[in-house]
Amino acid sequence: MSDIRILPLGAGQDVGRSCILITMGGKNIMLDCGLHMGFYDDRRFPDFSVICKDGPLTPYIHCVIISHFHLDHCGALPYMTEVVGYNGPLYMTYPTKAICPLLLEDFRKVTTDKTTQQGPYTSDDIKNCMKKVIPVSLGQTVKVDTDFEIKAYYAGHVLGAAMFHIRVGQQTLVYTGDFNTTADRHLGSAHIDRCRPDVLITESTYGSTVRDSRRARERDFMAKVVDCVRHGGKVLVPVFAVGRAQELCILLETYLERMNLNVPIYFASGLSEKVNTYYSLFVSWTNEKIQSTFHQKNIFDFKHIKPWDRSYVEQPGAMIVFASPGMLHAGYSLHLFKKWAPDEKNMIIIPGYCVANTVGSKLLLGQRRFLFDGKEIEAKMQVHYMSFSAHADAKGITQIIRQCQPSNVVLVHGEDLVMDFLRGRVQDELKIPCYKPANGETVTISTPHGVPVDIEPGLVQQLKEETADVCRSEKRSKQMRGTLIIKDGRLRLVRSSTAMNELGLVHHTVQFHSRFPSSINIRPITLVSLIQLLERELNSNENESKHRTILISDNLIHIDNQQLRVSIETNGDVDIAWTLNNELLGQRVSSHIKSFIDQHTSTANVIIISDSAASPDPM
Amino acid sequence: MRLYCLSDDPNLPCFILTVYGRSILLDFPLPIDHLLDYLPIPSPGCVNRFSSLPKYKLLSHNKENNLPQQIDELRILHNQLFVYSPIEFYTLDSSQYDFSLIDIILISNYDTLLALPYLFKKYENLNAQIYLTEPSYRFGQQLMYEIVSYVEQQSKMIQTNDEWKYDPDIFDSIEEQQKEKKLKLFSHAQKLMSCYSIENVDKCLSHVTVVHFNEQIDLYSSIRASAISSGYCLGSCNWQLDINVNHNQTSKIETSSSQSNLTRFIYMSSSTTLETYSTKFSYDSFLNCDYLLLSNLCHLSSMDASINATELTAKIENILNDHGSVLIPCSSTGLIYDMFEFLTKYFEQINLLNIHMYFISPISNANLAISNAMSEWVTEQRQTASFSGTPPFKHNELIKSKCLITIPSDRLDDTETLINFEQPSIIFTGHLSLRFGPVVQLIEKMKTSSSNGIIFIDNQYSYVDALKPYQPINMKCFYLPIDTRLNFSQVNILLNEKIRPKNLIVHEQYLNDIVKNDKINILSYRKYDNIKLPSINRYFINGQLNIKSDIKPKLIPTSNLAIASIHGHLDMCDYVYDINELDNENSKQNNLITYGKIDIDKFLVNLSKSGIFGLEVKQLNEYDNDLNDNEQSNRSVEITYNQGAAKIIVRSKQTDIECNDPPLMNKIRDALLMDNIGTL
Repeated sequence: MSDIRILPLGAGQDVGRSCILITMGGKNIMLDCGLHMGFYDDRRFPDFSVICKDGPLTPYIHCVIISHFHLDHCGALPYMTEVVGYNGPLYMTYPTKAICPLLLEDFRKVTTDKTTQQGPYTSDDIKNCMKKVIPVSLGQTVKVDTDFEIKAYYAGHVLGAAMFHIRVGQQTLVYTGDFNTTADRHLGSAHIDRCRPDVLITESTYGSTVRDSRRARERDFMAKVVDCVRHGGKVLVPVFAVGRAQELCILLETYLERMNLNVPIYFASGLSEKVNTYYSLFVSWTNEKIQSTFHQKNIFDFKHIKPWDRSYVEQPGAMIVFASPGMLHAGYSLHLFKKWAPDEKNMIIIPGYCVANTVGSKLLLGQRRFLFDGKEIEAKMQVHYMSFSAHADAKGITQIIRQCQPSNVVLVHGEDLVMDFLRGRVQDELKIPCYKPANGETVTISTPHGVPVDIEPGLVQQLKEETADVCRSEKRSKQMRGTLIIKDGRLRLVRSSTAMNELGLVHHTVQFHSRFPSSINIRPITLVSLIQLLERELNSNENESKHRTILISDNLIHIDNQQLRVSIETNGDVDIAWTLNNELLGQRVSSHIKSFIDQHTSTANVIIISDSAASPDPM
Repeated sequence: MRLYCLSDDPNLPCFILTVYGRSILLDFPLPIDHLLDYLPIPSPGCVNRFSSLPKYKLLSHNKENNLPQQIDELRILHNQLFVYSPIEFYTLDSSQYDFSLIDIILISNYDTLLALPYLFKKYENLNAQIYLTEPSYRFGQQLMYEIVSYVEQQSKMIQTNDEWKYDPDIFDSIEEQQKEKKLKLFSHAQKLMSCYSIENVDKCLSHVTVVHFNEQIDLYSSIRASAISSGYCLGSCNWQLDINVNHNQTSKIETSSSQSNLTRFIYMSSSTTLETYSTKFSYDSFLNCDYLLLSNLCHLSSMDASINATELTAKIENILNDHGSVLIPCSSTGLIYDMFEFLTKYFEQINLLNIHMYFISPISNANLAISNAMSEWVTEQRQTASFSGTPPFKHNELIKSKCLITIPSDRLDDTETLINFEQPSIIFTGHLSLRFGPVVQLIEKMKTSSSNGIIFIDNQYSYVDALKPYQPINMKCFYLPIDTRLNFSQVNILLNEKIRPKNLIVHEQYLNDIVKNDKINILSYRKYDNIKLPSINRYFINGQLNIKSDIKPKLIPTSNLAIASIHGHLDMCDYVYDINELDNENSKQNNLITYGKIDIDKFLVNLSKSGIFGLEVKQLNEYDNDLNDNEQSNRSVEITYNQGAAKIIVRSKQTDIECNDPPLMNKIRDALLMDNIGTL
């Protein structure tokens, strides 16, 4: 009940195929549903059989949340909803819902076998899947179910990327997805409230590096590009169609205008130029500068960047081409790489992360000979890697952890060694327990929370009155007695008398009495000394809660708000009455009073004698 | 909670709500009811026929009193007095309230924030956050810019001095002279201020916090606000205030709404159930709310907007067929988007081709661009369009096909004759009051031809009064107001059958039209009323229970519930009531509550089982007032043991055990509790 369990089906000590199952408050939630770019068989999808051996997932999963439109976060979604089967709620932000189907369709086209028409899923699967998506806005609190809410925060990784705050009952969790804490040319920086979640699940792609400033990187990038084209080379920049592509296009556009460089720039992507229109439809997701000027000038209407045509590949002379996809695993970028790789005048700049096993990642690891369709190609072109990935670095991740102040941190979406480094930092510097579950490994985090209960105002009021004039430390130790009524899953804490009334029960008082006959007439003055005695005797033990003794009238003493009464009856008898539950107190008081009376009977006699002796003396 | 009402016009809502010492300003619209007292002023470069109107003569002028003979700023036209000066505005703030103490400003839509720059200009120390939706912010900003630029054009045309208003002698004698025919504006004359500047607008908007629908905003630790879609225009909202939110950042506790201790205050303004282009009206969370403040209902009694819309198309068709042009004065955002698409569709239907719709306003292009970027704020149907990459509105298409032509200018020169407008044409422009903006030129140009027509679709002003300075006019004139806001019949259904608020707060003007209902307590207000809202009883306080050990609840099948005794500490920490159970086992056992009646026979058996014999049992002939006759048979009983070593008196509601020997007493207690009276 008071645990949160986290099981990565993907992205556990790995980058790619993000898919994390969490269980909190009895709800099973799937965070992201991505595919792995490095595999070409069933391993590219998360292993859904972990959830259920056979048949649809709907009964087992209460909600799916997609953080952004990158395929390693949403690529397996149509497979999950249509092929495996899921009909439950599915959330993503507005821009993600808009752009996601484009990338899925692009991926489907690339991977579907031309002759057999065998592919991971069909176009209709994508359409049907997207129909199930419920779009959410930033900041909007979406009620998934009773006491189950999600809320999106700005993540700044790509257009529409969001971090999600999830609350089930008392338990809270934040999933960052991919995020970037530094604003760039078209997006703002990630932001989260100090929401103090029980668990923060954060990405850790660049968790061990601290990157140089964006400006320096941009200068470096432009210097390399300009150097290459001046020498008549072709620059290939593999990018994903949406995201970094727009960032670099804005960069090139502004630089070229300033430097007056006349080199053709092309944009080659399976997607139509429509992509850029999404930026103007969802302007509120871009950075502040664009937001405040968009109604005057649309920054995504590029003047110098033209759409690519297949025939340009043989065109001589310098050019700059942005080609998708970004990891050189298929499509235009791979095609152009094959063509241009052998010429040392050319250059390839890889601006983002490449998943293991892709051509991009092999190239970065130093491999220069590649075998394509039985033909070997040697890459003589210059290879540069320049991280324009919109991922937070170690500094950024720490910053987000500091901002939201979680009780526990779970690392996903990063390489094992990077995670080790980051985990050390989180544990040592931030003093927060940190976990890095591997794929298929469950982490259980206990979350101590109370149970929500409705308290009767009278109970609080009663306690307030009882403790109105006591000091703070006593207030703290003041006990409260109430009755808990459990009905229809709701807890109510009321005064015992209220509970009795509600249940139609009549209270039966059980009262105990001790009665001492007293031959003497107990005067008020003796009562005062009796009270002093009781106060002293009853409160002698430091560890016990204090008892309060109050003189009500000439012949009545109350201890602890009527729980015990000492009354002196008209015939002089002392009656000590206490209620059930106060037997110990009753017996203690009885014995004290008994000895008090015994003592007084003897001294009183003495006094009487001395009185009578003194009276005849006239003085 | 108190509500201070600042406006006398329910369609110009402005309130200050104070909760727990925090002041929340609800809307701050710009009053424009006095604008018709002004003369229209054409743009620079145009013939200004109003400049030659006769000046107002002060009859009380003589050599001794030093009063001027005539007043430049007051002119006579058609026997009526008009003010001849650039437009000035007054605001709704009153000296009775220190506005610099406002903590929070909540805005319903882009029409209800236009006076805010004055507020931030006037109260330098005001540091309130303005909460509003993104469309309200963007359009509101543009509308402010529009006013600024229109009034700027005016002040280029005429220079005036304010002496007539501020010199009490002059002003008094004018008022004296006018007697019954005073201008509306006179009552605010000294409060009028020249229009705010761009700097004022920017300063004010720097206090903005943009929110989304259904975003929960923690204003203060126990006050939470959410903007809920009202359906009226892009980003228009009703504000829901939850008071006594019992939560902190670490634990949010919510219970079913019926039993929650939240006090819910709803401020409803400009809502519509009609589906236009904006996110639809949502009121699910308003049901059974504690307070509902209702304002901005439709002016017209139960008039269906669609009837006027049909009428409108017919009139436009007639005028266009007559080779005339149509002038539609309207606001630069809102209804106009509906009009573009609605009319285009209509023209396609009747096969009327090559119609040109002109949209003239300095902010025309900006507003069209903004509306197309608001894809998260439109109806689901239009959202679907934006998911597939097409803008939610068709403006761009219309502009491409030359159906819609925007002129982003704040004035029209005389040189720009009507011939420059491609015929046939429909011209949308402002300002609604017909006192400033390009509309002034256009009426002057178009009024001469009877084939032209002007159609009023807004009902803020009397169109007769608005047109007065332009008389005589030949052009056709129609009044076909389209007001989509809730009317009384809709509101009555909504209130009585759905929302059912506990307290309803309305302007006294609304009282007659609101159907009374026993269950709804109606409070009415007038300007400057300071209403104390009736307090709501709290049935529960939300808290949280921290139990370390298992509790053993006792099931009570008859009531279908379980009960358990709790013995612990109650602390309030960070607005959450925390109950921490005692971990001391001893003290817990001592928490028995006894109920029911004692079965005396069983008790006696139990006593003998514990070795207590030789009991004397005596029936007491006491008459118990609490019991009825049947129960009297079970009378009180006195049991004595060992000649008074213990005496037990059992009555129906109380048992007294008198004994001076503790071990004996414990035995008797155990015998009493064993399988006998109920214990908790």
